[in-house]
Amino acid sequence: MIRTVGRRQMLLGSGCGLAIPFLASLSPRRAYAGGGPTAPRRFVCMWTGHGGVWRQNMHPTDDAYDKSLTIYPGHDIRYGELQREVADGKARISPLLTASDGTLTQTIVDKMMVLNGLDISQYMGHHTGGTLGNFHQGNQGPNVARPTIDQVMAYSPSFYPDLSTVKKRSMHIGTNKHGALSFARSSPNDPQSDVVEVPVANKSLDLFNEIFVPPDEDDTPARPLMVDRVIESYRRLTKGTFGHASRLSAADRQRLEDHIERLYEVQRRLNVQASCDDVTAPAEEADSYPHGGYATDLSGMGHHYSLYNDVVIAAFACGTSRIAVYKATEKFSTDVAPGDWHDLVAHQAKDNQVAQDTLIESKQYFFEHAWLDLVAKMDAVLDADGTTMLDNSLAMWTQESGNLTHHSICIPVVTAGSAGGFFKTGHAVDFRNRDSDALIRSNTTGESLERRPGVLYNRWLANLLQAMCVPPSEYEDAGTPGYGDVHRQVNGGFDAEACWPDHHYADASAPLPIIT
Amino acid sequence: MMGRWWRVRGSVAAGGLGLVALMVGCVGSIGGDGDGSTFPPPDEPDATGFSCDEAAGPTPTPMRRLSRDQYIETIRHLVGGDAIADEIADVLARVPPDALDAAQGRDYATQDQMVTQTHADVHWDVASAAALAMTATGPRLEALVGPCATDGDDANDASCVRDFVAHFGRRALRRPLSEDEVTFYAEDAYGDATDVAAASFADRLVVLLQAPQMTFRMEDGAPAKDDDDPDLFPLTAFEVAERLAYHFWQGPPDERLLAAAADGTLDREDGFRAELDRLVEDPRFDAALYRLVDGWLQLHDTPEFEGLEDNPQFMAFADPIAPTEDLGDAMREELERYFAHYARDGSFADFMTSRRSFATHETLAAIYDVPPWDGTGEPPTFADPRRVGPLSRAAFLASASARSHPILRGVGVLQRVMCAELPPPPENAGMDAPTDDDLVSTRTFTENLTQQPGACRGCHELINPPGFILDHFDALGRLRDEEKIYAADGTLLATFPLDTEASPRLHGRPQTMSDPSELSEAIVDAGDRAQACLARHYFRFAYGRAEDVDADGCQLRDLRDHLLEGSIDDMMKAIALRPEFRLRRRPSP
Repeated sequence: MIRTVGRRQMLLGSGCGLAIPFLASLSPRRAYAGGGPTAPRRFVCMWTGHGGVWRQNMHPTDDAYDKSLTIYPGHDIRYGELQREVADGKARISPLLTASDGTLTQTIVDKMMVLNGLDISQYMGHHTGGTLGNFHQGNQGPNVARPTIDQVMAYSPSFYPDLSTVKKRSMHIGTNKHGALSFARSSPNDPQSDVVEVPVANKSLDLFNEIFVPPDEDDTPARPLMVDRVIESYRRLTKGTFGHASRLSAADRQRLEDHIERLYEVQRRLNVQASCDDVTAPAEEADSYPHGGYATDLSGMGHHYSLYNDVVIAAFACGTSRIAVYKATEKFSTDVAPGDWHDLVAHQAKDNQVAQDTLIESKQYFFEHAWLDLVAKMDAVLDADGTTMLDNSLAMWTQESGNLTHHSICIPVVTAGSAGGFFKTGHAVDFRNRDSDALIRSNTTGESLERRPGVLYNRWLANLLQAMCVPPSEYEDAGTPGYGDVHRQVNGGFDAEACWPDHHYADASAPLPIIT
Repeated sequence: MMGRWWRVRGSVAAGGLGLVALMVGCVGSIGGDGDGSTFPPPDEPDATGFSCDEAAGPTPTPMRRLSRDQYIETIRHLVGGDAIADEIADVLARVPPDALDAAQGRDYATQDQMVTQTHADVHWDVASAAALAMTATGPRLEALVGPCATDGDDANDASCVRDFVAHFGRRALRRPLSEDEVTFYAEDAYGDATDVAAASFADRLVVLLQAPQMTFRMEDGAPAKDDDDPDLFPLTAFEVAERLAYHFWQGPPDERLLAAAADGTLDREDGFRAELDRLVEDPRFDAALYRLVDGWLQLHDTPEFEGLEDNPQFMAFADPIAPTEDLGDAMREELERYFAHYARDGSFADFMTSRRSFATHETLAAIYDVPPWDGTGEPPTFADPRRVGPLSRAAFLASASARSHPILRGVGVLQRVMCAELPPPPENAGMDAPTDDDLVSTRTFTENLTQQPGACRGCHELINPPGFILDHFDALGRLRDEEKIYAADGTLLATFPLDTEASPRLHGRPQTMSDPSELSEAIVDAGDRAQACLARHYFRFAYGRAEDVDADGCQLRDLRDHLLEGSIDDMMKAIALRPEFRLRRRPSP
């Protein structure tokens, strides 16, 4: 299928396709990230489990949405400028989006977006992969497995037009226990190859060593030729040169060919030329602080993420990686034993104020000490064009479920950075069609009344890909708009077609209104 | 719309993997009021669903990647000593863990055949670090290559290099190298067949340690046995040795096993059995036993207790026990030792009804109210007759929680021990639950949560009863006679008498009971279901893939019958004594 490229995409392309070397000499002050006249885009996604935060606690109050726009007949969305209220040293966008006023500054708020009404149009239950577009991963899994969008970016020539400084295409932090956040093709250039979980970093200092180039390092790899020899050993085997492997199946042979591709990537990595002159190695290991699903030491968990954030900033500053994905399983709470969390907090939070308060406290801590910590650090680093690292990035935080745990409707998304101007920031947008009763019954009460159909989450994913310079031609499947194999289905006897009429799917690659 | 997961999961399993023989027919539709009477099907002649055609031969086996444990054991074996292995421990620790996903039927590391860029990156780093360490000093080089590497005699350099490649290559690739291969790794891979500098041997090691035959298990086989079926062929003796070692030791074949392959011992039935007995008697067999029980009873999810000392509710509940950060590991290790004990000397029924403690950790022993076991003598016996079998162990029962979890325990009994496949909770699971503001027992709380009309009654009429019976144990795995409920600040809010009477439906009609020991005995006596379940798990572990109850039915039936009639180690050896173990059917070429 031949696709036409719209004017906006052309403009974006002009900012995305340039291969920019790291120009440290252009750095007049502070640390300088890799980038030249047009700084590179970077993508960050942080994920936390369960969801279940009520709309009024997650999002700004109703009066903050003082404008509306009709996006389809009968579907008005509301939006407004993001505002913070400051009192007692705290800045507050919503009960959850609250932090020290010195960190959640107006400057940061102006670079944020708070989005409601992004729907995965099928029941996901507990899942991790759906967050970045592998809707196959999860409780139900009837869909076709797909790489997640971070991996689409990682292997996109549009996102990485020049890999000469890139030591690690993407960084993965957290745990893959009970499901990974990130999935890739086992052979990235083969769309038929298996979809596999992307392993997470073992330790923060290991990750740092993977992305760091010491100032005095001789960039000549120790044994570059040996990768050739390893590759040759695979080639000879597959060709039967050694007299073996005559009974390789087609699938076996493909696995070996896939591995050859990976060895080329090893070779590429060994030949990277980069500079981290302005970066100081971290002195502490993040994993020496409490972390994981059973951790209970709040400040320790915060420190854990802060140290990983430092590594991500270092990689972005060195230009040795431009993608970071975090899967955070910590509860960020000491009030409830971790083993009781899902039953006594996530489930009960639907209509139990105490459980909801516990949830808010937990997510607020993550917002301030993990996500905002990273965002603030990104905004403190200048790219070579004088903009900040944050300005050229998109740092997103989202949750497993919407305002009710298990539900994949109204997934909350908080972002910072405009991705080099792709997004118009400083907005709170509620994409829900509040006039639709498609998810409402006569006896529906409480937070369930907030469950109104919005726009498709896979449209948001498509927007993220475009923001990162990946055109629809690279990510769409046979011209089907949007990203990911998502179905239209709602449990409980609701009419899914009434929730998301066909035009939502037809527009699933279109720029989202208000924010683009 | 309702019951959708049901059909999806059923069709996937039946059509592809054959996972579902004991699928729980909780309800025809999620949210209905089904009575669960279809589990287990009482009148089915062979409820395990195993069918057998001995003439069918093995199912196709793709090339296997070494699991993380297998890879690390292989590298440790090859580097030649703990000192070097310890030097490269940090880089070995970076080998990606194998991805487990019980929801997808992936319980064992051997089932994860995914290879990622991280594998290639880390394997490169491991090979480089190992090669440098192995050649770092003159004595190490000499130990690796022989005196020819350092004797200064140019005349023997070419043979020195070729001999090294042939010798080390045989260990690394687990079979003798052909002359072409020796030439490649000695000369082509380095460029100078006579260079005996340490760096040149390091380079050759880097290549050998990343050879495809090192990372993957290649089974090219001997000449075809049956000309009518060119894709079915016997394994070579070296390939059989490799299967034996990676299965029973989770590591590479040792020199004796390679020698048995080389001199024809493994080709003889008596020689094969002797080697099989040696493998099973070797302490390295524990690695396989531990991994098997980890996957079967899902011990990967043993809770962590680090930091809970700051939680007043949990600490008030746990008092006088003070959980240590290694307690979760101690719980898992106790069940591993317990299984290994009976796997080496005991039957399935012995294991399921044992009253011995294998707790060496003081805190865990205190939870069990027995003295710590010294690890060598007679394991202590539990005084309380309610603590029987694996379902009474902390690794199965505990949660980092102040309240027991009957639902999770019930699911554990059905899914793990009985291999019942349960549909996932519906979208509204737990959403309409009553709050516990008005203080009720865990049983009442659970019943209110799950047994309201129109909710999840069908499945939970199956799930809850085993969980209610196990409510004799608190959330640390301690026996109790009453249930205490604590507030978040640690204040005791209420005490409730235990109500553990329930009617689990394990085989045929429900049986009413209240004692965990009765539950364990009922499981052993539930036809052959629990034995068939362990047989299925063992098959998955051994072959690294989900079983197919039709194509693999003969093996599954054989394994189950050994559990019904013999010892656990008989069952484990039986898989190697099946003809399929020494054959390979190639997938579509």
